[in-house]
Amino acid sequence: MYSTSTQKREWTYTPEKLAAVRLEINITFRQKYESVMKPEELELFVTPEEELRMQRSIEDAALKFADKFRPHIWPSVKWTALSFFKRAFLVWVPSDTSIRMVMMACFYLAMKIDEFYITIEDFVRNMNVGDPRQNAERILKLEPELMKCLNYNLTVHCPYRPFEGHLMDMKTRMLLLNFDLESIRRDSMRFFQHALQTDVLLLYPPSQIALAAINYGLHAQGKSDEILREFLRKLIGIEEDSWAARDARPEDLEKLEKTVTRVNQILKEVEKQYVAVTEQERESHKSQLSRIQALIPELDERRKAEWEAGGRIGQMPGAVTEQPVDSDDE
Amino acid sequence: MSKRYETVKHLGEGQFANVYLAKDLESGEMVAIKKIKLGSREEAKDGINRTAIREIKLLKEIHHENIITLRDVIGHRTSIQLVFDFMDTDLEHVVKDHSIILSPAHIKNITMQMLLGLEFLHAHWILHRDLKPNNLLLNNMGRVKLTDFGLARFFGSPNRNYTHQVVTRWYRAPELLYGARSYGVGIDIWSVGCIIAELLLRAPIFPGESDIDQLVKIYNVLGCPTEESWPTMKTLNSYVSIKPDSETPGLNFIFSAAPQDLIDLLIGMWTFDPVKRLTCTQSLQMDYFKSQPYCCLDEELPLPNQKPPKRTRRLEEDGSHPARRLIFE
Repeated sequence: MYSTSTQKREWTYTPEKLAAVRLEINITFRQKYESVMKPEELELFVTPEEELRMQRSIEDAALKFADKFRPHIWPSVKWTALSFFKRAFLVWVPSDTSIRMVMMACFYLAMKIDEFYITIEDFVRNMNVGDPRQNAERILKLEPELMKCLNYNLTVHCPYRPFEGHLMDMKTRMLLLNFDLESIRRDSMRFFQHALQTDVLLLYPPSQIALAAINYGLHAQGKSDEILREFLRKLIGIEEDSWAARDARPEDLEKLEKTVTRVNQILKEVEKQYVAVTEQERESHKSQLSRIQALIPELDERRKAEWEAGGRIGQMPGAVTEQPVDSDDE
Repeated sequence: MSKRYETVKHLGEGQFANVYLAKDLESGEMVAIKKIKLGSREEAKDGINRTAIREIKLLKEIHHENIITLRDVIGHRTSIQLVFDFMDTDLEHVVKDHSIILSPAHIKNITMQMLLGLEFLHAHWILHRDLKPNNLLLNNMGRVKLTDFGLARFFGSPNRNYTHQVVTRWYRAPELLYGARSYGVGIDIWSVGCIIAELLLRAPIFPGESDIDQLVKIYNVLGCPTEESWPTMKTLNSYVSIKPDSETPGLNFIFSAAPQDLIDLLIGMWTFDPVKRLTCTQSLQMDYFKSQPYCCLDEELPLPNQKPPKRTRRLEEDGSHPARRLIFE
């Protein structure tokens, strides 16, 4: 149930809050290493905006991976995986992790979550970069770290089910439509595909994203906004063009206007944010990331040296705080 | 480094987890910690065990007094530790302990707590899929909680098929025995009926030895479903026609001490056609819960192996009356 979900409680943001979180983790990462970096190395840091574009470029590649995946996966696996990915990078930064491997781990975990049964061998067979055994090892090592990073909130509510529900409802309630509603499906699915490469997953409830997909599909068929509005009226229970309309409860009318505004907002957001990543951009991200990542082991050494020189105060940099229950099988 | 949980003792080992009794040093409460092994062993070759993932995914979303609480998850280099409420016993132990007397009021209380937990689960679109006495825990406050969500899953997806190999056989609904691939809340309700019967009889009501024998055991008690009582029966994957004993004794004979309103509840839960079977909410509205004897208080529910008070035992040992000895010595 979405209304009581961890998704709503822990992982749904306002645009401002989302930007603030991204800025904060970017600064935290910078502060961790800044003091031990040479002036000429500082240019290796990437901005939050660049980090977001890096995520988009991996998302784009991941959706191609998903569409080529064998056996065929259902759309909710994609949605779940990309939700995990977007959530993970509100905790981690791309410079500090193998962003591509994290995405693969997100897919592997999403398949388990969505009851899509696959072994790790069959999974890595779908990857076209790297040695299968090493890929498997890295994904399995990342899996528990990823779950922890997600605070073990693993249920993702996807818009595909609400979409089917709304569509079925429309078919039964709106008998006077003079066209086949199924004709919007292809465009609606394309809308979801675009939405996956935006922040709407972190901003809006899935049922509203589904309504936006329906409206997108209707537009593509040259239909007006009036159809969705009429459907929402019926859904909320406001009679149209009748004496009863005068008695419509104000809170119902408000709900209608709010939902319509929301749907338009989501449509606009997807249109604005969905910018295809160019090959050139992708290559530049790769080299940017590889440069800072190549330097990190060296930076960690410098931090350790600084800590030793400073009298070993506090915890050693890089040491992991763990909480064992007991040590019988360590 | 602060350590929140202190291990008290090892409680048991499962296929992929160890369970410990521990003390939560922050709250002083006892907890049960399920420690899931990670690493390269055979059972972990595909990473974190699926049953553990299902438990985490579902229990993180739901909070209800009649469902076990996942209080905490601790990620560790070599394991993932799930911290649950500690519960003293389970209904299987209660049923098997013949020193315990279950009164009608006890059974009504347990049934109600079971149904409340399950109703909440179903309202959140989750099927438990493995209800049995062993998976209903009981603590010393008389609280009953559903546990073991290793087979549980969300339901309601159109076009998605589910495996029928769920639910321990004795508690499995007939549609599952016939290989149904799409099913709903009815499978859990069927199990609840079997559990109530087991509380009454103190033995499983349908102890089938194979899937076919399971159907025979069911039909010997309830009679055979007919085309009329269950129209879609013959469309199920592994439908077979079964000829049971021609005479069934009837539920009133089997549960000779049970009131009619309880028999009616069981009949509703064991309706063959899953569509017509009672839901949790309907069950809770049955006359059974509106008639006397009402539910006992939670704290009146009996626990097994409660050692008799020490004084009584000393009386048995040496035959003298300890209280009198204290006074006159």
